[in-house]
Amino acid sequence: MEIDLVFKIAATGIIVAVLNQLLIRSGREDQAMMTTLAGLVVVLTMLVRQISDLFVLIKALFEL
Amino acid sequence: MLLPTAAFAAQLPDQTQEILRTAPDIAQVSSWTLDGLWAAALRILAQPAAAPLRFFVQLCGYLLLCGVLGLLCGKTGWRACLDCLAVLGFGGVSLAAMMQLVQRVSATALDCRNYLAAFIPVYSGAVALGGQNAGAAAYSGLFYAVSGLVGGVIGQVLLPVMQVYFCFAACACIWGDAGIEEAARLFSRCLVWLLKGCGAVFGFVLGLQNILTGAVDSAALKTGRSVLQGLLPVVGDAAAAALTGAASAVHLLKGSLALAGMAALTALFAPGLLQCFLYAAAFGAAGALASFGGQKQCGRLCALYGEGAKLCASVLVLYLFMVLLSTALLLLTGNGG
Amino acid sequence: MVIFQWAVLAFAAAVLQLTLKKEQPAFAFLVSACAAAGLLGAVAGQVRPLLVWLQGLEAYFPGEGIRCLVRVLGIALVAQFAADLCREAGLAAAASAVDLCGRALALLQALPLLQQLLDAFAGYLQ
Repeated sequence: MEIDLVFKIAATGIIVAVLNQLLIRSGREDQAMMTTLAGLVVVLTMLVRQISDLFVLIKALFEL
Repeated sequence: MLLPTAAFAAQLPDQTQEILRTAPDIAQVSSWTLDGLWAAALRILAQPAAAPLRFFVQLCGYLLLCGVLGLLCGKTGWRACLDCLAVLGFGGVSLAAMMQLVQRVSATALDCRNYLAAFIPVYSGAVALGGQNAGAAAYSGLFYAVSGLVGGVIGQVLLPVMQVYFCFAACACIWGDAGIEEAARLFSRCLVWLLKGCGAVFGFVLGLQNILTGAVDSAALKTGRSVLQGLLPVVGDAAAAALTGAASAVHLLKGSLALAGMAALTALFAPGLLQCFLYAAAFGAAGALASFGGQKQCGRLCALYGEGAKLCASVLVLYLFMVLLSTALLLLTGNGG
Repeated sequence: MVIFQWAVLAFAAAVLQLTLKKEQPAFAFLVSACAAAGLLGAVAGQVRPLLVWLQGLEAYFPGEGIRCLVRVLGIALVAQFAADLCREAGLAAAASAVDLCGRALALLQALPLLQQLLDAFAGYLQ
Protein backbone atom coordinates (compact mmCIF):
# COMPACT_ATOMS: atom_id res chain seq x y z
CA MET A 1 0.00 0.00 0.00
CA GLU A 2 2.75 2.45 0.95
CA ILE A 3 4.85 1.76 -2.11
CA ASP A 4 1.79 2.20 -4.36
CA LEU A 5 1.14 5.60 -2.88
CA VAL A 6 4.78 6.63 -3.27
CA PHE A 7 4.70 5.64 -6.94
CA LYS A 8 1.38 7.43 -7.43
CA ILE A 9 2.79 10.63 -5.96
CA ALA A 10 5.95 10.29 -8.03
CA ALA A 11 3.94 9.64 -11.19
CA THR A 12 1.73 12.68 -10.50
CA GLY A 13 4.87 14.74 -9.95
CA ILE A 14 6.43 13.60 -13.22
CA ILE A 15 3.21 14.26 -15.16
CA VAL A 16 2.89 17.72 -13.60
CA ALA A 17 6.56 18.45 -14.42
CA VAL A 18 6.07 17.45 -18.04
CA LEU A 19 2.84 19.46 -18.39
CA ASN A 20 4.56 22.39 -16.71
CA GLN A 21 7.42 22.33 -19.20
CA LEU A 22 5.01 22.05 -22.18
CA LEU A 23 2.82 24.93 -21.00
CA ILE A 24 5.81 27.16 -20.21
CA ARG A 25 7.36 26.45 -23.62
CA SER A 26 4.06 27.38 -25.33
CA GLY A 27 3.97 30.61 -23.34
CA ARG A 28 1.08 29.89 -20.97
CA GLU A 29 2.85 30.36 -17.64
CA ASP A 30 -0.23 31.08 -15.56
CA GLN A 31 -1.85 27.82 -16.73
CA ALA A 32 1.41 26.07 -15.92
CA MET A 33 1.26 27.39 -12.39
CA MET A 34 -2.36 26.34 -12.04
CA THR A 35 -1.51 22.83 -13.20
CA THR A 36 1.23 22.60 -10.62
CA LEU A 37 -1.12 23.79 -7.91
CA ALA A 38 -3.82 21.32 -8.97
CA GLY A 39 -1.32 18.47 -8.88
CA LEU A 40 -0.14 19.53 -5.43
CA VAL A 41 -3.70 19.66 -4.11
CA VAL A 42 -4.49 16.18 -5.44
CA VAL A 43 -1.33 14.73 -3.94
CA LEU A 44 -1.90 16.51 -0.64
CA THR A 45 -5.39 15.03 -0.28
CA MET A 46 -3.98 11.54 -0.81
CA LEU A 47 -1.12 12.14 1.60
CA VAL A 48 -3.18 13.81 4.32
CA ARG A 49 -5.48 10.80 4.37
CA GLN A 50 -2.52 8.48 4.87
CA ILE A 51 -0.92 10.65 7.54
CA SER A 52 -4.26 10.88 9.35
CA ASP A 53 -4.49 7.06 9.35
CA LEU A 54 -0.97 6.90 10.73
CA PHE A 55 -1.76 9.27 13.57
CA VAL A 56 -4.96 7.38 14.43
CA LEU A 57 -2.91 4.17 14.63
CA ILE A 58 -0.28 5.79 16.87
CA LYS A 59 -2.98 7.29 19.08
CA ALA A 60 -4.57 3.88 19.52
CA LEU A 61 -1.27 2.10 20.15
CA PHE A 62 0.28 4.48 22.65
CA GLU A 63 -2.95 5.53 24.40
CA LEU A 64 -2.37 9.19 23.59
CA MET B 1 15.61 2.19 104.05
CA LEU B 2 12.64 3.36 102.06
CA LEU B 3 12.14 1.71 98.71
CA PRO B 4 9.50 2.68 96.15
CA THR B 5 6.52 0.34 96.03
CA ALA B 6 7.29 -0.86 92.55
CA ALA B 7 10.65 -2.10 93.74
CA PHE B 8 9.00 -4.92 95.59
CA ALA B 9 7.82 -6.40 92.29
CA ALA B 10 10.00 -9.48 92.13
CA GLN B 11 8.35 -11.09 89.14
CA LEU B 12 9.56 -10.79 85.61
CA PRO B 13 7.56 -8.44 83.34
CA ASP B 14 4.65 -10.06 81.53
CA GLN B 15 6.33 -9.97 78.13
CA THR B 16 9.39 -11.82 79.36
CA GLN B 17 7.26 -14.35 81.18
CA GLU B 18 5.26 -14.90 77.99
CA ILE B 19 8.41 -15.47 75.95
CA LEU B 20 9.88 -17.85 78.50
CA ARG B 21 6.58 -19.73 78.76
CA THR B 22 6.26 -20.28 75.02
CA ALA B 23 9.92 -21.31 74.65
CA PRO B 24 10.39 -25.06 74.18
CA ASP B 25 11.52 -27.14 77.14
CA ILE B 26 14.35 -29.67 77.30
CA ALA B 27 12.24 -32.66 76.26
CA GLN B 28 10.95 -30.86 73.20
CA VAL B 29 14.40 -29.58 72.24
CA SER B 30 15.92 -33.04 72.40
CA SER B 31 13.28 -34.30 69.96
CA TRP B 32 14.08 -31.68 67.28
CA THR B 33 15.45 -33.07 64.02
CA LEU B 34 17.52 -31.22 61.45
CA ASP B 35 14.79 -31.58 58.81
CA GLY B 36 12.17 -30.32 61.20
CA LEU B 37 14.33 -27.33 62.12
CA TRP B 38 15.01 -26.54 58.45
CA ALA B 39 11.31 -26.76 57.55
CA ALA B 40 10.39 -24.58 60.52
CA ALA B 41 13.06 -22.01 59.61
CA LEU B 42 11.86 -21.88 55.99
CA ARG B 43 8.27 -21.46 57.13
CA ILE B 44 9.13 -18.63 59.48
CA LEU B 45 11.45 -16.84 57.06
CA ALA B 46 9.37 -17.26 53.89
CA GLN B 47 6.82 -14.69 54.90
CA PRO B 48 9.16 -11.71 55.49
CA ALA B 49 11.28 -12.69 52.48
CA ALA B 50 8.34 -12.46 50.08
CA ALA B 51 8.13 -8.67 50.02
CA PRO B 52 11.81 -7.95 49.18
CA LEU B 53 11.82 -10.65 46.49
CA ARG B 54 8.70 -9.21 44.89
CA PHE B 55 10.26 -5.75 45.09
CA PHE B 56 13.43 -7.01 43.38
CA VAL B 57 11.39 -8.52 40.54
CA GLN B 58 9.58 -5.17 40.12
CA LEU B 59 12.91 -3.29 40.02
CA CYS B 60 14.35 -5.63 37.41
CA GLY B 61 11.21 -5.41 35.33
CA TYR B 62 11.30 -1.63 35.48
CA LEU B 63 14.95 -1.50 34.41
CA LEU B 64 14.30 -3.94 31.57
CA LEU B 65 11.37 -1.88 30.37
CA CYS B 66 13.40 1.31 30.42
CA GLY B 67 16.18 -0.42 28.52
CA VAL B 68 13.80 -1.66 25.84
CA LEU B 69 12.08 1.70 25.42
CA GLY B 70 15.45 3.44 25.37
CA LEU B 71 16.51 1.18 22.53
CA LEU B 72 13.39 2.14 20.60
CA CYS B 73 14.10 5.82 21.19
CA GLY B 74 17.65 5.63 19.95
CA LYS B 75 20.33 8.16 20.75
CA THR B 76 18.18 11.22 20.11
CA GLY B 77 17.46 13.90 22.70
CA TRP B 78 14.35 11.96 23.66
CA ARG B 79 16.51 9.42 25.43
CA ALA B 80 17.18 11.92 28.22
CA CYS B 81 13.45 12.64 28.53
CA LEU B 82 12.67 8.94 28.81
CA ASP B 83 15.47 8.41 31.36
CA CYS B 84 14.08 11.23 33.49
CA LEU B 85 10.65 9.64 33.56
CA ALA B 86 12.10 6.21 34.24
CA VAL B 87 13.96 7.52 37.28
CA LEU B 88 10.76 9.19 38.54
CA GLY B 89 8.84 5.93 38.42
CA PHE B 90 11.77 3.96 39.83
CA GLY B 91 12.16 6.44 42.70
CA GLY B 92 8.47 6.27 43.55
CA VAL B 93 8.50 2.48 43.82
CA SER B 94 11.74 2.37 45.85
CA LEU B 95 10.62 5.14 48.20
CA ALA B 96 7.37 3.32 49.04
CA ALA B 97 9.24 0.10 49.84
CA MET B 98 11.87 1.84 51.97
CA MET B 99 9.31 3.78 53.96
CA GLN B 100 7.59 0.50 54.82
CA LEU B 101 10.93 -0.90 55.97
CA VAL B 102 11.64 2.12 58.17
CA GLN B 103 8.17 1.88 59.69
CA ARG B 104 8.78 -1.79 60.45
CA VAL B 105 12.09 -0.94 62.13
CA SER B 106 10.35 1.84 64.11
CA ALA B 107 7.70 -0.59 65.32
CA THR B 108 10.36 -3.08 66.41
CA ALA B 109 12.28 -0.26 68.13
CA LEU B 110 9.17 0.85 70.01
CA ASP B 111 8.47 -2.73 71.13
CA CYS B 112 12.05 -3.05 72.36
CA ARG B 113 11.90 0.24 74.29
CA ASN B 114 8.68 -0.82 76.04
CA TYR B 115 10.22 -4.20 76.76
CA LEU B 116 13.34 -2.63 78.28
CA ALA B 117 11.38 -0.02 80.22
CA ALA B 118 9.50 -2.78 82.02
CA PHE B 119 12.75 -4.14 83.41
CA ILE B 120 13.88 -1.32 85.63
CA PRO B 121 11.36 -1.58 88.51
CA VAL B 122 11.63 -5.36 88.37
CA TYR B 123 15.37 -5.17 88.47
CA SER B 124 15.52 -2.84 91.46
CA GLY B 125 13.19 -5.20 93.26
CA ALA B 126 15.35 -8.20 92.45
CA VAL B 127 18.45 -6.35 93.66
CA ALA B 128 16.77 -5.39 96.89
CA LEU B 129 15.72 -8.99 97.51
CA GLY B 130 18.90 -10.61 96.31
CA GLY B 131 21.23 -8.47 98.34
CA GLN B 132 23.65 -7.73 95.47
CA ASN B 133 26.49 -5.35 96.24
CA ALA B 134 26.07 -1.65 95.57
CA GLY B 135 28.67 -1.42 92.83
CA ALA B 136 27.14 -4.07 90.64
CA ALA B 137 23.71 -2.62 91.33
CA ALA B 138 24.81 0.86 90.27
CA TYR B 139 26.46 -0.45 87.16
CA SER B 140 23.51 -2.53 86.13
CA GLY B 141 21.16 0.37 86.75
CA LEU B 142 23.40 2.49 84.54
CA PHE B 143 23.30 -0.20 81.89
CA TYR B 144 19.53 -0.16 81.76
CA ALA B 145 19.39 3.61 81.78
CA VAL B 146 21.85 3.91 78.92
CA SER B 147 20.06 1.22 76.92
CA GLY B 148 16.86 3.17 77.35
CA LEU B 149 18.58 6.39 76.31
CA VAL B 150 20.16 4.84 73.23
CA GLY B 151 16.88 3.24 72.26
CA GLY B 152 15.11 6.55 72.68
CA VAL B 153 17.65 8.47 70.62
CA ILE B 154 17.44 5.95 67.81
CA GLY B 155 13.67 5.81 67.82
CA GLN B 156 12.97 9.54 68.13
CA VAL B 157 15.85 11.03 66.19
CA LEU B 158 17.59 8.57 63.93
CA LEU B 159 14.62 6.88 62.28
CA PRO B 160 12.88 10.14 61.26
CA VAL B 161 16.22 11.41 59.91
CA MET B 162 16.48 8.19 57.93
CA GLN B 163 13.08 8.84 56.37
CA VAL B 164 14.23 12.32 55.36
CA TYR B 165 17.41 10.77 53.95
CA PHE B 166 15.42 8.44 51.70
CA CYS B 167 13.30 11.31 50.40
CA PHE B 168 16.37 13.45 49.74
CA ALA B 169 18.15 10.61 47.98
CA ALA B 170 15.15 10.17 45.67
CA CYS B 171 15.09 13.92 44.95
CA ALA B 172 18.82 14.00 44.31
CA CYS B 173 18.72 11.20 41.78
CA ILE B 174 15.64 12.52 40.00
CA TRP B 175 16.82 16.11 39.66
CA GLY B 176 20.48 15.31 39.26
CA ASP B 177 21.24 18.60 40.95
CA ALA B 178 24.63 18.75 42.64
CA GLY B 179 23.27 20.73 45.60
CA ILE B 180 20.60 18.23 46.52
CA GLU B 181 23.05 15.36 46.13
CA GLU B 182 25.35 17.10 48.61
CA ALA B 183 22.42 17.44 50.99
CA ALA B 184 21.64 13.71 50.68
CA ARG B 185 25.28 12.86 51.40
CA LEU B 186 25.19 15.21 54.40
CA PHE B 187 22.17 13.35 55.77
CA SER B 188 23.94 10.04 55.25
CA ARG B 189 26.98 11.33 57.18
CA CYS B 190 24.70 12.63 59.94
CA LEU B 191 23.02 9.22 60.25
CA VAL B 192 26.33 7.39 60.35
CA TRP B 193 27.61 9.82 63.03
CA LEU B 194 24.50 9.34 65.17
CA LEU B 195 24.65 5.57 64.89
CA LYS B 196 28.38 5.56 65.67
CA GLY B 197 27.66 7.68 68.75
CA CYS B 198 24.97 5.31 69.99
CA GLY B 199 27.18 2.31 69.31
CA ALA B 200 30.11 3.93 71.13
CA VAL B 201 28.03 4.78 74.20
CA PHE B 202 26.66 1.25 74.32
CA GLY B 203 30.13 -0.28 73.94
CA PHE B 204 31.52 2.02 76.63
CA VAL B 205 28.85 0.98 79.10
CA LEU B 206 29.52 -2.66 78.32
CA GLY B 207 33.19 -2.27 79.01
CA LEU B 208 32.78 -0.32 82.27
CA GLN B 209 32.80 -3.35 84.47
CA ASN B 210 32.92 -6.92 83.44
CA ILE B 211 30.08 -8.23 85.56
CA LEU B 212 29.59 -11.11 83.19
CA THR B 213 32.77 -12.65 84.46
CA GLY B 214 34.60 -15.51 82.92
CA ALA B 215 34.52 -14.01 79.47
CA VAL B 216 34.81 -16.85 77.00
CA ASP B 217 37.29 -15.96 74.30
CA SER B 218 37.48 -18.78 71.83
CA ALA B 219 38.31 -18.98 68.16
CA ALA B 220 34.63 -19.10 67.24
CA LEU B 221 34.05 -15.91 69.18
CA LYS B 222 36.98 -14.18 67.47
CA THR B 223 35.63 -15.19 64.05
CA GLY B 224 32.16 -14.00 64.98
CA ARG B 225 33.53 -10.64 66.07
CA SER B 226 35.55 -10.11 62.92
CA VAL B 227 32.56 -11.06 60.77
CA LEU B 228 30.37 -8.57 62.60
CA GLN B 229 32.95 -5.82 62.31
CA GLY B 230 33.25 -6.40 58.59
CA LEU B 231 29.62 -7.02 57.77
CA LEU B 232 27.77 -4.31 59.59
CA PRO B 233 28.52 -0.72 58.77
CA VAL B 234 29.10 1.63 61.68
CA VAL B 235 27.98 -0.55 64.60
CA GLY B 236 30.21 -3.49 63.80
CA ASP B 237 32.62 -2.67 66.65
CA ALA B 238 29.88 -2.21 69.23
CA ALA B 239 28.17 -5.38 68.04
CA ALA B 240 31.45 -7.26 68.28
CA ALA B 241 31.89 -6.10 71.90
CA ALA B 242 28.30 -7.05 72.60
CA LEU B 243 28.91 -10.47 71.12
CA THR B 244 31.55 -11.13 73.78
CA GLY B 245 29.06 -10.16 76.46
CA ALA B 246 26.35 -12.30 74.90
CA ALA B 247 28.68 -15.29 74.68
CA SER B 248 29.57 -14.90 78.35
CA ALA B 249 25.87 -14.77 79.19
CA VAL B 250 25.28 -17.91 77.16
CA HIS B 251 28.14 -19.61 78.97
CA LEU B 252 26.71 -18.66 82.34
CA LEU B 253 23.13 -19.55 81.48
CA LYS B 254 24.10 -22.82 79.87
CA GLY B 255 21.93 -25.66 80.96
CA SER B 256 19.08 -23.46 82.05
CA LEU B 257 15.81 -22.99 80.33
CA ALA B 258 16.45 -19.28 80.09
CA LEU B 259 18.75 -19.99 77.18
CA ALA B 260 15.80 -21.12 75.07
CA GLY B 261 14.09 -17.90 76.05
CA MET B 262 17.05 -15.87 74.73
CA ALA B 263 16.92 -17.87 71.49
CA ALA B 264 13.23 -17.07 71.22
CA LEU B 265 14.03 -13.36 71.65
CA THR B 266 16.62 -13.56 68.88
CA ALA B 267 14.07 -15.28 66.65
CA LEU B 268 11.78 -12.26 67.06
CA PHE B 269 14.34 -10.08 65.31
CA ALA B 270 15.19 -12.52 62.53
CA PRO B 271 12.41 -11.57 60.06
CA GLY B 272 13.21 -7.85 60.30
CA LEU B 273 16.95 -8.43 59.82
CA LEU B 274 16.32 -10.77 56.92
CA GLN B 275 14.14 -8.17 55.22
CA CYS B 276 16.79 -5.46 55.63
CA PHE B 277 19.55 -7.62 54.21
CA LEU B 278 17.37 -8.83 51.33
CA TYR B 279 16.43 -5.26 50.43
CA ALA B 280 20.09 -4.24 50.51
CA ALA B 281 20.97 -7.19 48.26
CA ALA B 282 18.10 -6.35 45.90
CA PHE B 283 19.30 -2.76 45.59
CA GLY B 284 22.85 -3.93 44.98
CA ALA B 285 21.83 -6.28 42.19
CA ALA B 286 19.48 -3.72 40.64
CA GLY B 287 22.21 -1.09 40.81
CA ALA B 288 24.58 -3.38 38.92
CA LEU B 289 21.87 -4.04 36.32
CA ALA B 290 21.15 -0.32 35.97
CA SER B 291 24.82 0.55 35.45
CA PHE B 292 25.09 -2.24 32.91
CA GLY B 293 22.06 -0.90 31.04
CA GLY B 294 23.41 2.65 31.06
CA GLN B 295 20.85 4.01 33.51
CA LYS B 296 23.24 6.06 35.64
CA GLN B 297 20.65 7.86 37.75
CA CYS B 298 18.83 4.65 38.64
CA GLY B 299 22.17 3.10 39.56
CA ARG B 300 22.98 6.00 41.93
CA LEU B 301 19.53 5.72 43.49
CA CYS B 302 20.07 2.00 44.10
CA ALA B 303 23.45 2.65 45.71
CA LEU B 304 22.06 5.30 48.10
CA TYR B 305 19.05 3.18 49.04
CA GLY B 306 21.21 0.10 49.57
CA GLU B 307 23.25 2.03 52.12
CA GLY B 308 20.04 3.10 53.83
CA ALA B 309 18.82 -0.50 54.04
CA LYS B 310 22.15 -1.58 55.59
CA LEU B 311 21.82 1.23 58.16
CA CYS B 312 18.37 -0.11 59.07
CA ALA B 313 19.93 -3.54 59.57
CA SER B 314 22.58 -2.00 61.84
CA VAL B 315 19.88 -0.35 63.95
CA LEU B 316 18.07 -3.66 64.34
CA VAL B 317 21.28 -5.46 65.34
CA LEU B 318 22.01 -2.82 67.97
CA TYR B 319 18.52 -3.26 69.42
CA LEU B 320 18.90 -7.03 69.34
CA PHE B 321 22.05 -6.92 71.43
CA MET B 322 20.56 -4.41 73.85
CA VAL B 323 17.54 -6.63 74.42
CA LEU B 324 19.59 -9.83 74.69
CA LEU B 325 22.07 -8.43 77.16
CA SER B 326 19.41 -6.74 79.26
CA THR B 327 17.41 -9.95 79.50
CA ALA B 328 20.51 -11.95 80.32
CA LEU B 329 21.42 -9.46 83.05
CA LEU B 330 17.97 -9.73 84.57
CA LEU B 331 17.93 -13.50 84.46
CA LEU B 332 21.39 -13.75 85.98
CA THR B 333 20.46 -11.41 88.79
CA GLY B 334 17.32 -13.41 89.36
CA ASN B 335 19.47 -16.50 89.70
CA GLY B 336 21.44 -14.74 92.41
CA GLY B 337 24.24 -14.11 89.94
CA MET C 1 11.35 -10.75 6.36
CA VAL C 2 9.53 -7.46 6.28
CA ILE C 3 12.75 -5.44 6.55
CA PHE C 4 13.62 -6.16 2.92
CA GLN C 5 10.34 -4.66 1.70
CA TRP C 6 10.93 -1.58 3.79
CA ALA C 7 14.47 -1.20 2.50
CA VAL C 8 13.20 -1.43 -1.08
CA LEU C 9 10.54 1.19 -0.32
CA ALA C 10 13.12 3.57 1.08
CA PHE C 11 15.43 3.04 -1.87
CA ALA C 12 12.63 3.62 -4.43
CA ALA C 13 11.50 6.75 -2.64
CA ALA C 14 15.06 8.10 -2.63
CA VAL C 15 15.43 7.55 -6.36
CA LEU C 16 12.07 9.18 -7.17
CA GLN C 17 12.82 12.09 -4.88
CA LEU C 18 16.16 12.72 -6.59
CA THR C 19 14.44 12.62 -10.00
CA LEU C 20 11.86 15.20 -9.02
CA LYS C 21 14.09 17.45 -6.91
CA LYS C 22 15.19 19.83 -9.66
CA GLU C 23 11.90 20.17 -11.56
CA GLN C 24 9.31 20.01 -8.82
CA PRO C 25 10.88 20.31 -5.36
CA ALA C 26 7.43 20.35 -3.73
CA PHE C 27 6.59 16.93 -5.13
CA ALA C 28 9.99 15.60 -4.17
CA PHE C 29 9.34 16.66 -0.59
CA LEU C 30 5.90 15.04 -0.67
CA VAL C 31 7.41 11.81 -1.96
CA SER C 32 9.87 11.70 0.94
CA ALA C 33 7.13 12.62 3.43
CA CYS C 34 4.93 9.83 2.14
CA ALA C 35 7.75 7.31 2.37
CA ALA C 36 8.55 8.36 5.95
CA ALA C 37 4.88 8.16 6.99
CA GLY C 38 4.50 4.77 5.38
CA LEU C 39 7.55 3.34 7.11
CA LEU C 40 6.46 4.76 10.45
CA GLY C 41 3.02 3.19 10.05
CA ALA C 42 4.56 -0.16 9.18
CA VAL C 43 6.82 -0.04 12.24
CA ALA C 44 3.91 0.91 14.51
CA GLY C 45 1.98 -2.08 13.21
CA GLN C 46 4.91 -4.42 13.92
CA VAL C 47 5.47 -3.04 17.42
CA ARG C 48 1.81 -3.55 18.37
CA PRO C 49 2.24 -7.00 20.06
CA LEU C 50 5.09 -5.63 22.21
CA LEU C 51 2.99 -2.69 23.36
CA VAL C 52 -0.01 -4.90 24.12
CA TRP C 53 2.28 -7.12 26.24
CA LEU C 54 3.66 -4.05 28.05
CA GLN C 55 0.16 -2.85 28.82
CA GLY C 56 -0.60 -6.29 30.17
CA LEU C 57 2.34 -5.90 32.60
CA GLU C 58 0.73 -2.85 34.15
CA ALA C 59 -0.92 -5.00 36.78
CA TYR C 60 2.47 -5.99 38.23
CA PHE C 61 3.87 -2.50 38.56
CA PRO C 62 2.36 -0.17 41.11
CA GLY C 63 1.48 3.34 40.00
CA GLU C 64 1.32 4.97 36.60
CA GLY C 65 4.87 4.24 35.52
CA ILE C 66 4.35 2.07 32.46
CA ARG C 67 1.48 4.05 30.97
CA CYS C 68 3.46 7.30 31.25
CA LEU C 69 6.53 5.78 29.64
CA VAL C 70 4.57 4.34 26.71
CA ARG C 71 2.81 7.66 26.12
CA VAL C 72 6.11 9.51 26.15
CA LEU C 73 7.43 7.09 23.56
CA GLY C 74 4.45 7.85 21.31
CA ILE C 75 4.91 11.60 21.74
CA ALA C 76 8.60 11.23 20.95
CA LEU C 77 7.88 9.35 17.72
CA VAL C 78 5.37 11.89 16.41
CA ALA C 79 7.39 14.93 17.43
CA GLN C 80 10.57 13.53 15.89
CA PHE C 81 8.69 12.77 12.65
CA ALA C 82 7.24 16.28 12.41
CA ALA C 83 10.54 17.96 13.26
CA ASP C 84 12.42 15.95 10.66
CA LEU C 85 9.85 16.82 8.00
CA CYS C 86 10.19 20.51 8.81
CA ARG C 87 13.96 20.28 8.68
CA GLU C 88 13.84 18.57 5.32
CA ALA C 89 11.68 21.35 3.93
CA GLY C 90 14.25 23.83 5.22
CA LEU C 91 12.19 25.14 8.15
CA ALA C 92 14.77 24.92 10.96
CA ALA C 93 12.84 27.27 13.26
CA ALA C 94 9.62 25.30 12.92
CA ALA C 95 11.55 22.08 13.55
CA SER C 96 12.97 23.47 16.83
CA ALA C 97 9.51 24.69 17.84
CA VAL C 98 7.94 21.27 17.22
CA ASP C 99 10.77 19.63 19.17
CA LEU C 100 10.17 21.97 22.09
CA CYS C 101 6.41 21.29 21.98
CA GLY C 102 7.06 17.58 22.06
CA ARG C 103 9.45 17.80 25.01
CA ALA C 104 7.02 20.00 26.97
CA LEU C 105 4.16 17.58 26.39
CA ALA C 106 6.33 14.63 27.35
CA LEU C 107 7.34 16.27 30.62
CA LEU C 108 3.68 17.08 31.26
CA GLN C 109 3.08 13.34 31.12
CA ALA C 110 5.38 13.09 34.08
CA LEU C 111 2.97 15.11 36.23
CA PRO C 112 1.10 12.07 37.64
CA LEU C 113 4.40 10.46 38.62
CA LEU C 114 5.58 13.67 40.25
CA GLN C 115 2.26 13.99 42.05
CA GLN C 116 2.62 10.43 43.35
CA LEU C 117 6.11 11.16 44.62
CA LEU C 118 5.15 14.42 46.32
CA ASP C 119 2.15 12.77 47.99
CA ALA C 120 4.47 10.07 49.29
CA PHE C 121 6.87 12.72 50.64
CA ALA C 122 4.08 14.63 52.35
CA GLY C 123 2.66 11.47 53.85
CA TYR C 124 5.93 10.19 55.26
CA LEU C 125 7.40 13.43 56.49
CA GLN C 126 4.41 14.51 58.56
